[in-house]
Amino acid sequence: MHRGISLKILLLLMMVSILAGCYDAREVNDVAYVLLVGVDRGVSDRFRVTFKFSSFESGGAQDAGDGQSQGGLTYRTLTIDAPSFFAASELANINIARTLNFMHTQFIVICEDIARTGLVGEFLGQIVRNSSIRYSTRLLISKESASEFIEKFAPIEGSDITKTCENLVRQSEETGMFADHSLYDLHDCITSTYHQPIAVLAAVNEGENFKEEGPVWGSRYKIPGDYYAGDQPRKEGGKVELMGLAIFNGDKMVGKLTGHESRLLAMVKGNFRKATFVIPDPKKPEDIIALEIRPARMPDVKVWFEEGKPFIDVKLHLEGDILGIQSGINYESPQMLSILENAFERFVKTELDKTIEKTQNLNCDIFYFGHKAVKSFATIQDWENYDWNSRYRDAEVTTEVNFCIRRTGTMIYISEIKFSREE
Amino acid sequence: MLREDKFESREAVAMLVITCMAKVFFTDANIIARRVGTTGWYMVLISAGVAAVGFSFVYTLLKRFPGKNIMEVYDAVFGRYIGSMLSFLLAAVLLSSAAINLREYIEVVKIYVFPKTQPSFLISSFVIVVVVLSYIGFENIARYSKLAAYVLFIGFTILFLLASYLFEFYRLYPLLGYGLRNTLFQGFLRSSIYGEITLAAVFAKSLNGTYEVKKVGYTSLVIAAVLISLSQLGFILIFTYPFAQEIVAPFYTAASLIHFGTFFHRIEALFLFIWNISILVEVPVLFYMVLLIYSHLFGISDRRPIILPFAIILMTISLIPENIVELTGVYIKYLREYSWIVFYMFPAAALLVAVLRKKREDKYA
Repeated sequence: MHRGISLKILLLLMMVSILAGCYDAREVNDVAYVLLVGVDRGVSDRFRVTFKFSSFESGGAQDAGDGQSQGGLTYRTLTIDAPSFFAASELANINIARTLNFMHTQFIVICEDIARTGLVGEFLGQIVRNSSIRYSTRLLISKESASEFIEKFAPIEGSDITKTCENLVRQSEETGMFADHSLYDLHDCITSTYHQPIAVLAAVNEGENFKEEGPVWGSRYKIPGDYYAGDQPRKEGGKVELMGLAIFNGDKMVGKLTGHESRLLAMVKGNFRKATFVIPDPKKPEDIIALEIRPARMPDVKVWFEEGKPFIDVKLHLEGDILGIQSGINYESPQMLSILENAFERFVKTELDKTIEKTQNLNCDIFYFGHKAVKSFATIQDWENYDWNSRYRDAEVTTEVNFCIRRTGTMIYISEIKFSREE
Repeated sequence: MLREDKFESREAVAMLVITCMAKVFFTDANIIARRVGTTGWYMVLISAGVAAVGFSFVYTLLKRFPGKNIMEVYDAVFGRYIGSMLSFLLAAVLLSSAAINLREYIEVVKIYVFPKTQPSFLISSFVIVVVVLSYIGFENIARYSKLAAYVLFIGFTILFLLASYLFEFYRLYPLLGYGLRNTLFQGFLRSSIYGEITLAAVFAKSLNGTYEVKKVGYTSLVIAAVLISLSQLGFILIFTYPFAQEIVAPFYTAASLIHFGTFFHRIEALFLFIWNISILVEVPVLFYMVLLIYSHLFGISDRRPIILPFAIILMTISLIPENIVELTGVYIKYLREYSWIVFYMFPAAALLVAVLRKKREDKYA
């Protein structure tokens, strides 16, 4: 009886001491949660790695020293030259007297210079080998310095960096001008025999492309979103932007797509959700027509081989609503509607053909035609011997676009604008 | 006289299915992808076919000696010395499997969850649980397995459904992987995945007769084959074959990819829960089977005194591999590719000898 009670008390005491977990306890503020990581080519060592982390310094909205304070959270940036990513992380720990933790990292930004010299694979290899960085972390390719991008990346008002990153990425669905690509996608694509990788382009845009003065634009036409990240003429707003995609051959960046081309890519891959397109008015080309476009159904992609040569047939099925007709021509009538539909079909087909040709010149199947091509091969040996990624440029591609206008917005007819006669 | 624990066939099925399934969650999927590329999902069905044939030998053998377990049958067919040797080899394979599976689990947990914890600490804390479960007896392990089976099945289904948005069917192609002949050969070699089904013959006395051994064996095999095939299918639908060959713990990685909006992610914790429960069934079951065989070999009536020594042996074996490369490249490779000899070929040999020497104890004797 006494022995039993003594044993229970002893167990209880043991549990108290074990469950307290004081031996190697680590409080939240002992750790620096890195939210953004930037990688450039180093000057004093192989890589220049920049970390942005929340510093837990202020409880209110005031800025603390050199940190950036947003909505009660303070962020600090640290840049360090080191031979590898984890060496930089370790050196940073000494400097900030806290352990860097990558559990909540949102973006890993690699500068274009590194991407073009084929060092992404080397860097990615280090990162994915460590379990502390999640495969769902997004990877961006910055136009210039990744360090500058990280420093200038600030949350929008009333938000924090994590939320800003999530919202920014969500815009890929809203606009289609870039894709939501994570480390998983890049790692999967780099080793893939089915297609080549892409990554999101990012850049600092502080309004240097925005011209305050000059001759007015007139009636010329420029395709919306036909820019790379950082080139868009705008003023104010956020200091950074995501637009367009980097094209890789293996782990080497060889080209890029604009925001507009990225939309066409998404249409073929079946990832397209919706976007606003502006096309020249078929009856009055100096004016424009705005359309909201959605996929009507998944695209039909057929790939077949004749004497070893690949043939690809792409059929896009789109639908949309009229958003605006600048010329005031009554395209809402049944006879005119088809003119508008045909004009949009021609526009998308022309642009798509150009984009496919661009990727064929780079010999990078980023349209994922390989996903269909592989079905013609029985074994992995046959597939790897054929080497789809190398044969993509030989493919003969035909495209077709079917477009149907479903709705005309809140107006179904345009009345003529009446002017008073001038004396 | 040894007292045999008694439990229902459902409990036995739950225990055997979990024991087979547990190892799929670790490096097995990676190894399968390296061997057969895109065809792992049907390779495991081929393995199940081979295992069904293997289990038929076991069942036919037991039918000739009703009321006996496999160790007693070996003794009856081959005599005490050869019979004991075969039982001893079976125990050695089971103990090695338990130790190596435990080490594999610990290695993966150390990589993904507890990178700063010593493996010996993780192993010893696990072994304590194995010892406790062994003390409370086989019947309780079986009951606990049935309870765990529901939780595991629900967790497995949730994970499968949540991860389904990552599925891409082109990853199944080329449909024949590295060739049909290779898939068939690997399917035959890796039939040991289901080797634990034959444990029904070791604890045959805990079930109600030979017919129940048959029912438990085949039911467990079918359920395990469907679930393992579904796991492999889900895995290859998420990772292209070159990527799949690189990852240490593909299922954990797949779970960590699930991401819905800002708030719903990092659900690998749920997977870890399933993982822990499954290994907490598998290792104690294998360990207890070793105790059963050992106590039969040496006529030990009370198994409790041998629990602690065997726990130390279990821990020691699990610490033998120097690193994860040696663990997967040598120990796991040979255990998972050649243990079918012990699981299926020993009973087949016994059956052949019994038929040739006309040894049987059933109604036709």
